[in-house]
Amino acid sequence: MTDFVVAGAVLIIVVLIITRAVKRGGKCSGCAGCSGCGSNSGQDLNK
Amino acid sequence: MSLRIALAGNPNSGKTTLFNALTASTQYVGNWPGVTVEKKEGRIKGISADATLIDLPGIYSLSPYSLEEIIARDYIINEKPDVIISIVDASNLERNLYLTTQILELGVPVVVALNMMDIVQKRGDEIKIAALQKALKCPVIPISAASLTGLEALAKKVTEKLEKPQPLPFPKDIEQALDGIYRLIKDVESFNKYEPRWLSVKLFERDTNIYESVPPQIRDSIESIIKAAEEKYDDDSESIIINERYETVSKLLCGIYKKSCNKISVSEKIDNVMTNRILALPLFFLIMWGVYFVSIQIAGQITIGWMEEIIEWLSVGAETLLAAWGASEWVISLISGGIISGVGAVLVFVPQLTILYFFISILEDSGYMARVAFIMDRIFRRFGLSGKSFIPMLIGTGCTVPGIMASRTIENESDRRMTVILTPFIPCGAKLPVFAMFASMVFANAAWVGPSMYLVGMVMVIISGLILKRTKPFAGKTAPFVMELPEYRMPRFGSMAKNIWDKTKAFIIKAGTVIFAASAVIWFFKSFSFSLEYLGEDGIGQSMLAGFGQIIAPVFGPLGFGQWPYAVASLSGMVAKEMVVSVFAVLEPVGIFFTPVSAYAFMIFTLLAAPCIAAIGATRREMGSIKWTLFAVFYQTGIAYFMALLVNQAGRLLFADAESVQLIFAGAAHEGQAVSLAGNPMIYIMVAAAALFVILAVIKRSKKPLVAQAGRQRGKQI
Repeated sequence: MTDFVVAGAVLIIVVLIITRAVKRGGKCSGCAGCSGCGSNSGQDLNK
Repeated sequence: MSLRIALAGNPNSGKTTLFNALTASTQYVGNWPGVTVEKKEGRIKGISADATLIDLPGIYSLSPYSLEEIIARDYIINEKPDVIISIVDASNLERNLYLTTQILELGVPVVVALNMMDIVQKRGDEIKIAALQKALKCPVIPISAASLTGLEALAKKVTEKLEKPQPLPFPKDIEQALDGIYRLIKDVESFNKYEPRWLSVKLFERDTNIYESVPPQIRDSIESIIKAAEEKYDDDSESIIINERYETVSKLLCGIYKKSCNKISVSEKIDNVMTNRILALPLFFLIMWGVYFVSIQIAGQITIGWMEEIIEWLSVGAETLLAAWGASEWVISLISGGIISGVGAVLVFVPQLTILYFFISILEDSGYMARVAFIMDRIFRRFGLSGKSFIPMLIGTGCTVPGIMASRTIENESDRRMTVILTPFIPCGAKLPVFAMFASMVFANAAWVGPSMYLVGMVMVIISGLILKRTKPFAGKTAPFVMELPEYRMPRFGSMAKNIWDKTKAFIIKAGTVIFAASAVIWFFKSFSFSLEYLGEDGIGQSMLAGFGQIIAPVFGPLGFGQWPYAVASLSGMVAKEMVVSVFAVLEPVGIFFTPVSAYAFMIFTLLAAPCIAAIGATRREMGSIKWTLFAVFYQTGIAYFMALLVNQAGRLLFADAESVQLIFAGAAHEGQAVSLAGNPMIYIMVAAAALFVILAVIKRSKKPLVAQAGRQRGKQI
């Protein structure tokens, strides 16, 4: 049971992270979706 | 009814000082809806009229790019103040008047407050006020908000009946284009609220917010007018307007602004040393070495031990807890040896990187980094590269993606393409944990390791520039580079804290998401065979990962790391460069060994090889071609392979007796002994940081209802 719960939780988290990453496409992480604002801050100032 | 006066100007033009001086103690401070930008309102004191002063966010232009710009322009357009005070830093007149040229187009009466006149006089410079007033066709009042001079005249002028300003003219063909656009949209009802001149300019610039509301039937006609101008000027419409505004300001100031040749400012004195033809570059490397010495060598020695203890504690704790719950060996391995090891291997570098970000923020905020672009321009030009290429590279030190996108500012197509290809050679933030790992585990925390990567990156940019410039697609004259150097100033605590916080947060978020997922995936492939049989630590050699890795590993043999774990780690950098560290941590049970030579070759390969998938995506978008994207990826990886080969082969000849060092990570399935965190200072630092975060969050939250309440009282939508 513990195996099922722990591994299941990890699998769900991994799938969610990968789905989100694929959806965002080629965007640098940390930003809301980079539009080349050049802030170099990890935050997209254009959004 | 109260007169509403908006105060608009560049950041650091003395707006707040003027606001406080004019409103004395009745100021009202509130947050704008949903944003962190601060707005102030206050009644102007000492005048008979009832006038409210609204301090808009500090902005450089009214383009729809930054939140501040959008807020300021939305306020002016939607709320329609009675007067705008365009506050201008007289000691930096040309750049500041750029915003004024845009404010003059909004159709609201404008009074230009020429602030910091005391500094202008101190420098011995001269501004002919009457001539400036005549050129701008609006009142110009010289003031010094700091020494409270000229404020009475300003307060009096803004309460007088003022005429609508006349915008400054563009060249004849641009004026004709603007005219043509206006004729097309003058009957569109939804545009009635906008000032015609401002609307035409915004449509010409293809301003996203405005352009989207153009009815489809006239969009093509507008587009053909814009395209004709773009073809004529060989530039995009937005750049045409920007260039023409600066051109207009520059012409306008001719004969109005006289600069003294005798006085040398403090900034100029500092620049005489910092940007000195001979000293500039050695000083830059000395500064970078100092930054790395403190953050990697000194702080690294102290903090890595603390962080490793915490990761070890988490790992042992998770193992004990899962064992008590009756979890199988493979689940314990997944959590401890996979996720905690993988994520933890990256997180141990957070304190060092935070200190590094602190120093980089000082360099950025003080104005030194702008000088670095200036210094590099001199070197770049000598090798046929544009100085403009360095700005994307400077931005790329944080993250390659915005660095690549910043190359849009380069007009010359071949220069731009070359910059996109070469920007990933500069170490981005994600590569720093890789360098920090080798610096601490193989090079005994040596401070030269980090800066040497910047040096190698820059040298490779220059060499590549020399090579590529001699090929047909990249040949041509280099575009000139003009930049205004800001005055040196003391770094501001607020902007530095925000900068450090944003970067550290982005690093931790990435570790908690991308690195988390990738560590779990890597663990799966290293723990199971192709028949999905759990192998345990002793059977990693038969795993799927070993199978894949062994196919590609021979390619890396000549580079000094020809075994499968190294090949897998190297390729995992395509997901995110930090992954290299995580993969080594997850694969630690196999035994990861490096000599200083093979470690440096590995670092060179990581530095120069094709960037992460996000940066490749950005390359594809900016190049607009699969062919050029593939060229970039193969060129970068080819150069990386060649350089790593050179370092390894030459290094082995020079340091034949160099000993191998094993990479040891915290939390990687070590013998499960109890780890105590008592006396670990990092715990107290983390608790203090968490407490500070909670307090700040509570303060921020508790402010919101007050703002909303105040907003309702004033009958505004908050």
